[in-house]
Amino acid sequence: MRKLKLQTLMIYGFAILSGVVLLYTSQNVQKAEDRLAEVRRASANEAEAIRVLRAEWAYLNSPARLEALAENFLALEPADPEGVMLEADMLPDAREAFDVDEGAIVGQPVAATFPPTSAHEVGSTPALVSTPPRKPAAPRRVQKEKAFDSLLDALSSQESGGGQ
Amino acid sequence: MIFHRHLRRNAIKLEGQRSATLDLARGRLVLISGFFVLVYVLFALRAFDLTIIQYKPISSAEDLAQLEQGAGEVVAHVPRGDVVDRNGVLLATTLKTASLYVDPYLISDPQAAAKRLSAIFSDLKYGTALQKLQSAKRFVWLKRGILPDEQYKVLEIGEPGLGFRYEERRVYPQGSLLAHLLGYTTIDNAGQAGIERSFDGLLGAGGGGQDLALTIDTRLQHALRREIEATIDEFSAKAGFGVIMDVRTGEILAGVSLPDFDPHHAGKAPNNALFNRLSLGVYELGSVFKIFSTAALFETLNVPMSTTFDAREPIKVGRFAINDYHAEDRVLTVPEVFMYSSNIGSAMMGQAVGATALRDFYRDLGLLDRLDFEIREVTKPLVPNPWGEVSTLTASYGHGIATTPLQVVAAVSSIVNGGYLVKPKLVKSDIVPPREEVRVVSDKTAHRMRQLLRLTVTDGTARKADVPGYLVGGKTGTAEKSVAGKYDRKKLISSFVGVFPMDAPRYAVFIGVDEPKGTKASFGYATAGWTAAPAVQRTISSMVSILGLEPKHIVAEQDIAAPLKHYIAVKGAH
Repeated sequence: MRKLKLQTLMIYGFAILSGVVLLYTSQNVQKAEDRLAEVRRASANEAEAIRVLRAEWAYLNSPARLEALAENFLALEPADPEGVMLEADMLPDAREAFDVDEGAIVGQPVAATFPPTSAHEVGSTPALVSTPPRKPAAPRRVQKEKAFDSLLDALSSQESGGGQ
Repeated sequence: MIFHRHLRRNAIKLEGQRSATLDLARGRLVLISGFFVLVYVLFALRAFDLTIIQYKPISSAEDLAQLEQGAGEVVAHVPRGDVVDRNGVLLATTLKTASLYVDPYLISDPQAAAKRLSAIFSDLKYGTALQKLQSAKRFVWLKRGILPDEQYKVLEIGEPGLGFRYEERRVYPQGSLLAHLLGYTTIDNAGQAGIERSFDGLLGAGGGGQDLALTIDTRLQHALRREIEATIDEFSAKAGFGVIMDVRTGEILAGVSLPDFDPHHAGKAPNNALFNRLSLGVYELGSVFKIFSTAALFETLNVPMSTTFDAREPIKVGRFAINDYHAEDRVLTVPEVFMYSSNIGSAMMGQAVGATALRDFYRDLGLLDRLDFEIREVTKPLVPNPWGEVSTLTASYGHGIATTPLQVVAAVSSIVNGGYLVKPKLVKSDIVPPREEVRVVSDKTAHRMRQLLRLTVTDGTARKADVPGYLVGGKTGTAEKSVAGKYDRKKLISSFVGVFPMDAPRYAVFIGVDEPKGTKASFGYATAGWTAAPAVQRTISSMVSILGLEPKHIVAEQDIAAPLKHYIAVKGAH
């Protein structure tokens, strides 16, 4: 077999190389195009979802609906023009709301006149309170825990009783 | 190989004619190959030029778009544009909705599928569904335009025979709230009424699906509609209409015409509900027109407030007699004529102004020509032709001339805002328009009219319209409807136009009620002071808290109407 000239080899090599590069590039372009189409589709879906959500938002915030909800669930009503005070100076002295003189509040240490033994009693001394009476939420939990503890006690005593 | 060598050796030996022929052939070959080489070199050079020399990185979206267009890609489908209110609240949008169809050949268990479908769609009966699922066709519509939630449930059935086609549908999240102003579209999304029709080109695909902002404030629209609806219910009226307008610009903040319709099902609405009473209906609005005749009196004759009119005797013209509804039976000053709404007094004012001057004044206010408006449902007012002496008298108190409510509100706005003509506007413009420099009345007349309007609310026929702290002014109008050429005393159009705050007017609120009937609470009255005025009062009370307007508590002596008090005779002392 005749020896191939270097020149021919180079030409063949170049042809193969350009073929590979071409294939590689075209594959890349194909991939990029697929991805582009995918992104486009996703973005269109997203845009459509936004449109739907905007419409839903507008619907849920329609004044008629909000008004009905506010009427049913809020104890609020529109401000009365007569009740609007435009200057802070016109506001009455907040301390007047409590029926005690200033000296009493300042002079008496809170703890001294304030011996709460339970949450109920805190609520029953309104004249000096700075905190509003609270719903008896905490004691109920304590009772439950106690009940559970006593149940455990009973069980363990039963167990020990059974073992004997 | 041997053959080759042989050939070569022979080739050298070639001579004569044969050699010449071969030379020619070789020459041609060289020429052709040279040509191809040249072409390839050109290609290579051009490729080098484009990719290396002229290389520009794609950075801007514009470049990308240009590239895409060059690539001949299909331009994305443009949905019809959205309509929003002045605060950006969505009023109309286009959503892709699924429509459910069935290919009965692919249904495996028709009974089960029909059962589940009828459970999802309350209006699809089991029998009908089963019939469709078992039909012999390959494509049967089951339900058009279903909700995303319903679509999800249908997918859960998992029948391969159930499929979806997607269509675009116009959706109005506020329902019927703005039905007449927005209008509606056909199933093919072509605008049929209101803004949808007049801006069809802009909103549609042809205009690139552009969005549009209106001057409407949805919250105010709701407040106005609620109060008009309550008034219609309370007084068993046939219909109602109302407008809230910014008096400085003519922007319509709310516009209601009741009864209205659901724009999603406009085809099923009766004509009575489709009718836009604001711009397409013409009404004789009665005493509200006294605002215009009184302004004309001040503007043309510049008379003082103390000018008197004898309202003791009805005016007789031919077979007509002009009477007073709230009869005072005495000589009245201008403020008294206005606050007690004396027809006799107003007719005399019209007479004093003169037929031509009054008509020209009305024309300047835009009351005699077709309303220039952004939606196409407009009509021409009914104007007496020829405009004789009787027309002048009756037009002074709003009879014998029928206009659209919108025109009247715009005219009132033009007077109280200081005398600058405004036109009703519905589409919000980002460009701040230069102040309309068309003056219809002088500053002085405008101020006097503001005083008179305020006086009507503090001491006159519209005392039920006052909202403490907001200096409401206004004028009532109770007009008898003409039925078969005669005025029917029992069929009224009761209307009230309120403006506030009167010291620097910003908003005009108009409400009209068609054929209200008196109730026990109103002592049988169905006049404007009992029907429309309280409705405007309630609307303004809501407005101020929605818009966050501060009240102004002023003593009665500082009220804008206070200087007019000494033109009023003490009741019973005349």
